[in-house]
Amino acid sequence: MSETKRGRTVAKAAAVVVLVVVVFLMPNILSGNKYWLTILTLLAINVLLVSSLRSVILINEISLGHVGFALIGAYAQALLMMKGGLTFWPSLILSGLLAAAVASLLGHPFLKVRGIYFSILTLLTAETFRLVVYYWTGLTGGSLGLVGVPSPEPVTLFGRTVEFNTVNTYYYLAVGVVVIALLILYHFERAYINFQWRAIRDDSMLAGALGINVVGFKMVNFTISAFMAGISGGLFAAFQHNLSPDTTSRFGVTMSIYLLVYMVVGGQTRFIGPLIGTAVLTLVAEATRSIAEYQPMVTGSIAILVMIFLPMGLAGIPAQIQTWLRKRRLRSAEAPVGGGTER
Amino acid sequence: MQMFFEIKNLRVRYEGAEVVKGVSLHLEEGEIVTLIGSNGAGKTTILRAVSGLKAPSAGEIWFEGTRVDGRNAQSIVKLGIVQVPQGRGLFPYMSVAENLKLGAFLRKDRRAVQKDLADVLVHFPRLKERARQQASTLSGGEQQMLAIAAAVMCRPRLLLLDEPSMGLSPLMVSEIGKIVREINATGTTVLLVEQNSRLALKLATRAYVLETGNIVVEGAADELMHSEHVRKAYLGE
Repeated sequence: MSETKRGRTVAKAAAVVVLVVVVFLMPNILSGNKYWLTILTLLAINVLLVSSLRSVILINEISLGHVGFALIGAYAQALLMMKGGLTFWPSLILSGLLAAAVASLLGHPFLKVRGIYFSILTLLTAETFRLVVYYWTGLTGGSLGLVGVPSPEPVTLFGRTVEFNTVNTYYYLAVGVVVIALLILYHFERAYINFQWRAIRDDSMLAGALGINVVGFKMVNFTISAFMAGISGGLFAAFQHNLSPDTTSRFGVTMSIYLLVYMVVGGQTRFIGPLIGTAVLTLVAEATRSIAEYQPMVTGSIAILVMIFLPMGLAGIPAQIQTWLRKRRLRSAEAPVGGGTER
Repeated sequence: MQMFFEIKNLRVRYEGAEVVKGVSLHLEEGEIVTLIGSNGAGKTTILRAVSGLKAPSAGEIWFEGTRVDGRNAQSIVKLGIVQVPQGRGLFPYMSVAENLKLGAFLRKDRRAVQKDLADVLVHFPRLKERARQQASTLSGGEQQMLAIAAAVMCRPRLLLLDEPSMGLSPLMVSEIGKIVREINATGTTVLLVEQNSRLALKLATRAYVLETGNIVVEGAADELMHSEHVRKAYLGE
């Protein structure tokens, strides 16, 4: 019993080490292929956004507004660097904090409603943010977009100056920030506060009756989540150098739906789910680039198939195999007891 | 003299329909008092009004000299009034131990909570065996025990029990009865709402009979047990 447990821990540790090495050596493995490094960098940024979306699942709500917080983060990052004269790192933290501040202001009224009403509110709010950016031409450039967001300033590490103006180096920066952000999110999922979140998820009325400040704990969750969405927006802005508030941009409703699909396909019950879902669907999207018009159909079909056959998502496959094996073992153990009279 | 707990002329409406039509009752410290009545008489509604889950339309509720009607559920729990809801209010996907800890959520004295947790598990050996199991995997009777145990973890001064016998086997019903007596013996006042009038009248010192939102009979439990009206309507004799 404990041996299989130890084996599993060793296997997990080994997987993490392999993953770290692969991620670290990726630019070398791809021999600096800019196209794939761009995709991987965007993938990392999206993983953070989907993970932040998933953290709201912990309080049993579905947010369709996280692109709104990403938009706030992205434009804050861009404007703070371009007009505010700040450097990359303070801007990144501030853009996360700004998204968090907006979320905490909205949290109190929003989190008093539940389920579909919460989803609709967040969806419309994200659209409102997008339209504000769209029409506030003086500040944001409106539909023409905001062009020329600077790269992070170079840093000197061990006597070597590292510039972040190429994807080869920005890849490391983005992955580094995303990993730290994910570790923080993971910490919250394991911390004491998760006890209250789970109680709220199970039965928020009962949790309130027992004296848990339901709206307060939900707000903490929502604010942390919006902070991470804001950070992902900031990373995006400094990577792409230009931002657009169009409906087809990554701040439109379609993107919200895609994020949700990434999460569901990956498996919302597990922390690793967003990573798996986003990675798999991004790779599928790349593989089907030649039939670009049909991509939504491909993604949609995968989502439907996963929902039918793998309700726990791709991340739940090992657990599902285990259950299946256990059932088979039980059946084969029972069969001789049945005396063979069964059909 | 100041009453321990008192409801004065309570009225509660659901969307215009008056369900509780001017109910007055009181409890003295250390009593078990029962409120019996048939389906739809308004028993649960009264409890919901007391625990702050439903605002009354008129009337007053007093607990140890404090007016509690109109307060929210949390502050009422803080005062020491704890309800065990009908249908076993539990967190189904959390473990038995976690459910018990959540019962004591508002208490700040962590050490005393740990001690009470140990005590409760001694009183409820079945829960001890299943401490790490998900609450949803317990049997109906065990879930009811857990719901009561979680409420006890809150160290209530007044415990409101809403149909603890519902859906339980006769054996489990008498077990629950025993537990209610034990809790009462430790100094907790109990307001018991029941449809199982026989059990309720056996446990309680005094009883109120509720019919369509009005108290029609009240008195000592053993007197009511022999009253013509109660025997006919509620004990099926």
